[in-house]
Amino acid sequence: MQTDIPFKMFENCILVKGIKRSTIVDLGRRKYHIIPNDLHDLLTKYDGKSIEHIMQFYDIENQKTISEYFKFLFDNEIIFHTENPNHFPKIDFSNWKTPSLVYQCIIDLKSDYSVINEDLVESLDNLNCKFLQIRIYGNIKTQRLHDLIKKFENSSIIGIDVYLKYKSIEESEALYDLAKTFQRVNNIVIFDSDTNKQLFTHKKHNVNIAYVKQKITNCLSCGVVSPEYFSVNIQAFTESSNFNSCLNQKISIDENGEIKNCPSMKESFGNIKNVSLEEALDKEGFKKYWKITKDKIEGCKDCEFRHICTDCRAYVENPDDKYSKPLKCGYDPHTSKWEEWSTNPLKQKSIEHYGLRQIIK
Amino acid sequence: MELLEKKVLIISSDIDRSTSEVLEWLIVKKQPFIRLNDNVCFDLDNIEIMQKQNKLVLKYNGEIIYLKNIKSFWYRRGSISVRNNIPDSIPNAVKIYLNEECKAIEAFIIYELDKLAKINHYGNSNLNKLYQLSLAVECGLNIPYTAIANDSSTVKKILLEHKSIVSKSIQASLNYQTKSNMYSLMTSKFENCDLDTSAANFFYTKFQPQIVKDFELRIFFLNKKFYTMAIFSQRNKKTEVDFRNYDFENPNRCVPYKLPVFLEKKLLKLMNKLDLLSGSIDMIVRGKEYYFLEVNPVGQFGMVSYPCNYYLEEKIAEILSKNENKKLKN
Repeated sequence: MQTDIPFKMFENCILVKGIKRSTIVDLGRRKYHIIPNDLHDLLTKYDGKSIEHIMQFYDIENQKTISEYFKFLFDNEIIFHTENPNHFPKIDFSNWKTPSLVYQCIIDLKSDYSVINEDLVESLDNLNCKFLQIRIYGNIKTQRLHDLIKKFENSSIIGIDVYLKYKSIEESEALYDLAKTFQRVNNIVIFDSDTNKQLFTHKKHNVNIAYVKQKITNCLSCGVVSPEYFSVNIQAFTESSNFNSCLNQKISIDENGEIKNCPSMKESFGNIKNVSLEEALDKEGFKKYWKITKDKIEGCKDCEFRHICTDCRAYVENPDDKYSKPLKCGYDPHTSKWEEWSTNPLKQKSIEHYGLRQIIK
Repeated sequence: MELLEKKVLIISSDIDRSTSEVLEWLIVKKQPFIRLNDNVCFDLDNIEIMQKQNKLVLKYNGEIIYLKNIKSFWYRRGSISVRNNIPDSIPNAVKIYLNEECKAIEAFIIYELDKLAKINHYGNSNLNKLYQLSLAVECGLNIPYTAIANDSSTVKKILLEHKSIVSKSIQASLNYQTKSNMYSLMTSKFENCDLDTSAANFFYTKFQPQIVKDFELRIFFLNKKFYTMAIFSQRNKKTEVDFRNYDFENPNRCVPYKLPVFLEKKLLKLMNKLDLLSGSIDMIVRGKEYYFLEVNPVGQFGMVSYPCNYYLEEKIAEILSKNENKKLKN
């Protein structure tokens, strides 16, 4: 640490200020650090200045704290010394562009698997959809699953995640074979299991098969906000700065074939039996949540995690307000505490409203 | 009269993801294209060189490609050749003669395609790196002292003078796979002890002093603009000599960088001299000094585009699909 040379934050480390504390979102290393708001303000004010310059404004006691801050910042390579801080421009986060009309598609299946057919694949191709999540709540034969996934060969889809209910499928070598045969398959998650266990992983093919204890009954189980779903990368951050971090460029087919922004939402834009994905997407109101960024959402706008967090507009604290806080978020940025959302007395009315009682133990 | 929309022709490789990403943007722009992969071998249908306009018709896997229907050409990977079907049974001298005839046709095809090039030319896609260094000096750029040597006594002298040196390949790259390992030739430190273990004479190798850098620059030049990223490889023992020894656990800091105007001017001059419409330039920075290392005319841009939010893939698609046919350079 040289105190006389100016320091500069690496521009892929982003300061996000919350009401009580802040984060440094490290997009380069894909992690985040929780910092006090004092340090946030210090960095905002003095980035590009020298430590010596800062110290003159503080007494001995504060200088000690500031020195510790800087040790942390240098240790984590969040800042560096440079005589030319103006040579390092900010990353432009104001633009989020993809060559896709729809980026992700969720298909919920119970028993009728005919939803996945050639027409659907063609529609996803037309939208240049990249990721597909298939959630199967009923029983399925491995061969049937194989046939479903095979339909996406040569499609625009580059990643497929499959959710299966524990014991809904013969657990056999066939699942590994499936994952190895279809390079598009990234994850196979077997939910409602009695353990959390990695079953099979293949780094080269980027495949993961895992048992999870998580209970998934139907789409009511979705929308949980938790640090384990945080995503720290430049694409997610850029998208989140401009669009909704859950619903933007998403299209779904619920277990009844209704085309929706997400399966958990009420509004249907037609049934896949008579309406194509392209037609549904063009309907008035389909994209009405897409531009709701976290900066506009009650609670989230005060939160230091707002740009790495997921969102949910399907279940919110006040169902009449589309800018209301996600119901299944137990974090309070005013107290910096995570608490169980389902037992919060203030949330009970909404829990009843959405009929979520059945998924809460 | 038949109304035909002009296409973009791309010659690339099957596994090149950057090509696919550019093509997705072409689809958004409703720009038709032809992508050919992996050492393209054309069948010639017809060449006519006439007073008014040249006519060139190629065939690829049975599909006919009229040059007049190509609006722009992007060479990215692989080679271009013409199928010759020269029988094995004929005398060697005749074989050589027929081969030369074919080469002439290939050269003409490449000449005609390169006229439509808006991103890279095929013709100068493998620019001599020694020639680049010498041109860079002419353009007023700093370069590291560079020596080619094949004997240990010369290297000893270089080491004595420059204290710490690195060895790298002169031009080509080497990657090969054995049963258990993947080998890639990287820039590596050359030390006194290496002299003890190496033979008195060895194969021609390029030596440069090891410059202790503040950071390195990867600059993608496109449409007369420089999209620059600083790579802080120096702090990591793994990457300080060659950042391609990636540290996945603790990746190097990669952030946008703004080149000083004086340097942009010199680089622009160099790009013009090398007749490059785009390219990936490698430089290193120490204090106020910028050192030019090399430019790869068909270099990667995804690794610059993604961490800096430059959206280079879309910008390339835009250039390829542009309708006016005026030349970008000169």
